[in-house]
Amino acid sequence: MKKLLTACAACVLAGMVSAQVESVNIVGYQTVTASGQYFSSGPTFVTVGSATADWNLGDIAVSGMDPFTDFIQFLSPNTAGTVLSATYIDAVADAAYGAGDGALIGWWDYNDVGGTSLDAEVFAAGTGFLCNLTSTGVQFTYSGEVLQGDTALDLAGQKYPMIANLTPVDLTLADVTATGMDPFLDFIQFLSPTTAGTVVSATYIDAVADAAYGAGDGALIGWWDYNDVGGTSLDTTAFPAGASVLGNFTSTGVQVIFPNPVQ
Amino acid sequence: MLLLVVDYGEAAKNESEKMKKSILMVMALMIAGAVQAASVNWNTGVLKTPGVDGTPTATNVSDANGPWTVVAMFWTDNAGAPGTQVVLTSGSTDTTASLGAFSAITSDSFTIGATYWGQLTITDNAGNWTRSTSVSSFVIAPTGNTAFNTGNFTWDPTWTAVPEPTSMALLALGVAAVGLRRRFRK
Repeated sequence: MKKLLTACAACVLAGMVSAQVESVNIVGYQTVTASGQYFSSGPTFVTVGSATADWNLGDIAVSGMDPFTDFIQFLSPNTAGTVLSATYIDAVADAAYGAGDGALIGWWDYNDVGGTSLDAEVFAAGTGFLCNLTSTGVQFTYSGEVLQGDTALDLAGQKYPMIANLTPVDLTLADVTATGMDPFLDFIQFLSPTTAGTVVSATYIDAVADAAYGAGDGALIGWWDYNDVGGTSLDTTAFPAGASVLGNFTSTGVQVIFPNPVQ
Repeated sequence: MLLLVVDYGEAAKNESEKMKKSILMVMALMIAGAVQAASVNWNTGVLKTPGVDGTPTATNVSDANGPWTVVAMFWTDNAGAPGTQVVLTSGSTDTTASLGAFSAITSDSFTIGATYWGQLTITDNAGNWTRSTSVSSFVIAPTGNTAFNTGNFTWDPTWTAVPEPTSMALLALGVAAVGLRRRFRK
């Protein structure tokens, strides 16, 4: 009887511990395949235990990247110019260019491959990057902790932020909201993975803009083609997990809000 | 021993491979620069119709009270002033208003990082009213489209009556008369 009670208590405790773990964080990984040379992407997780919701470049594992022809670019939020180019040495490249002992595996400055490690570079959740890949079939494996709850990216003062769908869930634009965007000044751009040119420009009408430009009944709230604001809705445009878009903001107080991926 | 021979071979191969990679990398960067041609997204913002004296009313410009045509013109930079006009093959005009605004995407004719000048002019198709923006400069972004919109310029405060053809002819005659008078005064 004593043993039975002890076992029972152990089971109850185990259940409680398990429940606590589930409620604290959810960890996982997700693999995203580059769809072209200029694939726009970004992590769908943050570093496990990150108090400030950041991610490290070292959290991303890559396969199929040639460290001398392939790289990812982080753009300046002020000019959209490249401020950091990083390349990845995987096990295959480590064997080809190094001793094959795994010492080179990781992220390196594209201008100093094998010399300047970038594994410890830290980025805010939702920061995306633009690939420049000569190789095909490059895969990015994002791992870490799921950001729970709605996540508002504060893009104040950023003219050209690269904004990633930071959730491990495929979304449409209708799932994403924004504040502070002027529909005639501000837009986000989906870039072509084959040319890096803009294929879709979308702007958002929030409640404030709906009142200013419409009847104020909420009918205009949502995403619109920047070249036909109020005419062509883009709410159904896909925004896949790990994809990113390039902002073009004249307004200085823009926020983009992603939904809670855990429903 | 065998390993040593292989090592020499590998080292030489690696050198050659690295050179090849460097050339490839330079080529890739050149191609990257070439394919990222930039377009300009221009947008008028909301425009109001002209009152009797040209003062904008509270009514949005729309297809119903038009039709209207907006023309975008761009120039290269010449030492801080507009230089040669950029000839566009598409995206220079818009004739359909949504929410009182006009917009379009230009064809790819802009050099990344370069400064350009632009101006938008709207005219009602009946030929009664016209309104223009200031000629303002902007820089082409390295990635994605560049915005040339209500954040870049200011509009003329009022609409201007478009001169009628007869008025224009009289004006031309007047100018010619002044020119001839100056010539024969000598």
